[in-house]
Amino acid sequence: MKTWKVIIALTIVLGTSGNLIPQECKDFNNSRYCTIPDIQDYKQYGKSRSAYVVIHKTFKYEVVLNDKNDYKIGVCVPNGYDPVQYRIIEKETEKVIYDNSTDNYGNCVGFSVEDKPLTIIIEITVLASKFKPKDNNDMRTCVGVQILFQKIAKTGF
Amino acid sequence: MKSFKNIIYLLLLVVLIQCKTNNSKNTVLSTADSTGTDTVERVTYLLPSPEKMLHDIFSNKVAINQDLVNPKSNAEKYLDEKMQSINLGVYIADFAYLNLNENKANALEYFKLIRNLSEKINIYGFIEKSFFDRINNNLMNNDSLSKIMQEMYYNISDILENSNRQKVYALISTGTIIESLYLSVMSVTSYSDYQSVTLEIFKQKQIFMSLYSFISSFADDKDIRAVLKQLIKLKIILDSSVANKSEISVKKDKGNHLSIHGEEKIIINEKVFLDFKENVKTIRQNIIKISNN
Repeated sequence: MKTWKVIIALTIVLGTSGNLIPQECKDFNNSRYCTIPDIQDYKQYGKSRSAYVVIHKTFKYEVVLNDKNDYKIGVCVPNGYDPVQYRIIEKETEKVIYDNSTDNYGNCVGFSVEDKPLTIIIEITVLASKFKPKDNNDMRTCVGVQILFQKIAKTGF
Repeated sequence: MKSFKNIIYLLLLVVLIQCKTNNSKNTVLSTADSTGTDTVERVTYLLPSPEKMLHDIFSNKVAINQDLVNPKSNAEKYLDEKMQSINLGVYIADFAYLNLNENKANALEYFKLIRNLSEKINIYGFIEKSFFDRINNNLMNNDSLSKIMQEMYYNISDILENSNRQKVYALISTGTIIESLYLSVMSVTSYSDYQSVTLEIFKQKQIFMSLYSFISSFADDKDIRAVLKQLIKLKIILDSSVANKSEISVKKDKGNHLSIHGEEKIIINEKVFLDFKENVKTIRQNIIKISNN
């Protein structure tokens, strides 16, 4: 009976371990690499994410942004893995709203969604242009994604 | 000695399965594009917590009716993983809804149901005891409570996504979104008195569509196909409610800040709303009923 308990426990641990993100990536989105300036009145929008990704591979997040809100989106990687390119694309029309490669690969952007809710795709690629991998296992790194929001203040009287 | 051999065989089997899974994943997901980077077709859907969704809809004052939630006694009768997962989502939304009320005694009972169902689908370890203590200590503080609830929900979704159990997360999300819509439409007792609430409900269209896209990515699974079949009617009603849609315009205004404008007029009348409400009620009835097991 005891042996079977050990077998079941080992199966669960080993069966899932290949898919779990490493410990150092788990809270990467809240690390010092991921600070966004001027966010005093902003709240977390949905879940901030950390992912363990392969350099040069693009991955995507889909998120619905409500109207009448200001947003800040930040994307970060550890030192030495810069730059990271991200594009914000309207899902329905595939129109590129923002591409940080036209902005010197800045790691955050702020925007206001004024009149209608918007479904966007955040498309992220770690370019790591100066990084020299030691081997194939060295081709992965952590990426943090933060989405913050605040209600747009009403104007006028 | 025999037991030890069993363990060794099992370890070898797990390693072999893992290698096979990883190889097939790489083949399916990676295709090189012309810019020299690789694209991964899988999209991660960042769906909002039910607490966030209900908060948006109920920002207009609406009375909370505690009789609307799924009865506690149903929880132990869900026997398979599909029903347990969907109804875990239902109870998470119920918990968020009950927390909109001043009296939170009932809400805590629902949190216990969430823990029990989580245990049944093997994610109990991620609803840490600390959540229970924090919820207990913050029953009177709505802001902290809503933060803890969101954290708990995102914790569940993170762990399911990172352990290749996205299908379970898809079912939980379906439960939370359908239950949030159900609690919302049932609060509209008179269409003419609650037009602003109905508009907020219909503005959840894009979240519903995002959920639909998310669960469609598991359409090869029969449980998910059955769910999609139920949701299609709602999708059609929501789709047809949008008129006068314009393309968005993006203006860079100051520093690194953009302003995004566009128009999307939602047309609802009493008939459309009642049709939507009936469909939500039917789907919700189907997902909570015991005889599905």
